[in-house]
Amino acid sequence: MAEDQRLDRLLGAALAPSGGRDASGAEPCPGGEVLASYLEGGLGREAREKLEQHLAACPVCRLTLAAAREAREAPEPPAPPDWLAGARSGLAAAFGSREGGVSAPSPRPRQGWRRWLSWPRLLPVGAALVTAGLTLVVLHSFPLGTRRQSPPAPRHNTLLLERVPTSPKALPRPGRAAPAPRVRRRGPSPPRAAMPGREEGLALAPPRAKVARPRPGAGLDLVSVQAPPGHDSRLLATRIRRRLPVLAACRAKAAASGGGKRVIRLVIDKGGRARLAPGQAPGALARCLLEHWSGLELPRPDRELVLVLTFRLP
Amino acid sequence: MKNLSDQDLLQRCLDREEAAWAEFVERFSGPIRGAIYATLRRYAPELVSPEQARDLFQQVFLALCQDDCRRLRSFKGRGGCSLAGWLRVVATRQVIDQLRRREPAGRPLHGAPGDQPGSRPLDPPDQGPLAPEMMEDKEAVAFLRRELHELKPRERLIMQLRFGDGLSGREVASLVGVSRNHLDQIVHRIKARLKKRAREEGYV
Repeated sequence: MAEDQRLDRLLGAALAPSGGRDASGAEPCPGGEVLASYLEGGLGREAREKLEQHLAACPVCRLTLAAAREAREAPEPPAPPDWLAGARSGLAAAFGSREGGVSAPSPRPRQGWRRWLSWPRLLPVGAALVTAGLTLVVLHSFPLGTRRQSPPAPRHNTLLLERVPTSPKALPRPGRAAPAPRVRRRGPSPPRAAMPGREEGLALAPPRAKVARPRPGAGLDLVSVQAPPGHDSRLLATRIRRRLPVLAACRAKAAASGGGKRVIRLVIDKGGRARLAPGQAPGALARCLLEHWSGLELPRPDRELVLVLTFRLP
Repeated sequence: MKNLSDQDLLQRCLDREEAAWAEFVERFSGPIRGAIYATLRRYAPELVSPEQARDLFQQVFLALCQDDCRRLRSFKGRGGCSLAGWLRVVATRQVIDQLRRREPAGRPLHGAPGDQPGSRPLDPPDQGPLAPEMMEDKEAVAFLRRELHELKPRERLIMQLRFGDGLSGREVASLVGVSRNHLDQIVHRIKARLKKRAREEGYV
């Protein structure tokens, strides 16, 4: 018993925060998501071991974790109304709203090269371009020499080429019309990632991806896909566009109610199954989407997510 | 707004919709308020008051919105982390930072030697940290540090929380995500191993 007590005493001294910090104590503290995931049991083995190594050496993170755990296990009644009002007015002041709300914040300052896109800076550039264009038109209408000019090479829309992933074969060759975009992939699909938008280097992509042009085959134009943060909307849009012919049957059903834009909000569960989001009207297009969703062969998300799909009907 | 998922609500907040912010404040007021009270009660019970907590509550929301919501934008839900869980950690860190700034030269929060016994639950569980006057104890402590360094990360964390920080067995078990019985088994096994090594080296 005395031996046990002495060991406890010595352990207390050996593990006192003033000593015993190893080199990992110099590492930056992990982000809040890592600590929260640890408490919720969501970390993988490797990440968990790395965090536990850090925690053993970092008293501040241990303090944070201990208090957050206590808060998590205690009942959490909502804050009193005056607290909520105070927080809202504080937010309004922080956003610089004159009306007292939070809906009129100052616009984000443009940084880097974007600051050159302001109207005052672009005006002289625009004027110069218009002048140059007019000059070219005049020269073209009244050529200075008699030599026939060769027919102009087809112009490639670089914006579209950037947006549509193509193989080298699909790129238009000089002197020929651009080949029709491939709409249906033959053979088995390549192996899919475990989570949408989680591929390397894609996690920080903007949450809203514009689709540049309609894809033939389905008769449906997917205008945009909006996914929650952490998911790559552009990647999802590309995958859906590739499989749009699957939705060809939906066009006729949706077109019966007229053309224009259709916004469909779907909830995708962990099994990759789709259902209508709360508040989403069960229109013809929405019901058809649910019916054919599995045919799109999208990867299963790691958790339930809401997708906002915008279609344009001809 | 009530029917929106957390992720949707967050996105709308980042899009600066007034109604979304109102719902955000209401929906997450509970977790943030709870984290503030839990941290104050734990590390600065003398400062627990509705006024103090309300000030901190507002500061947390303001911190989330600073620099064009930089912190809020950083939330990606990685590892299945919920927004409420993340906000609890953010609020806890905010309060701890405030407390550390408040008493830079005073009582450290982490239960370092010299703490007032009982002033902080993270104090070591025994009568206070050892003041090893005897050379024998100093050598034993140095030996234990070397041995502890060899433990697996989880084992070392458990020993740190239990014996270094003085958390109760229930708290440690909850923190590292094991049952109380399992925790006791782990601690017993480590101590038996340390005792055996200490006997072999002649420290006990």
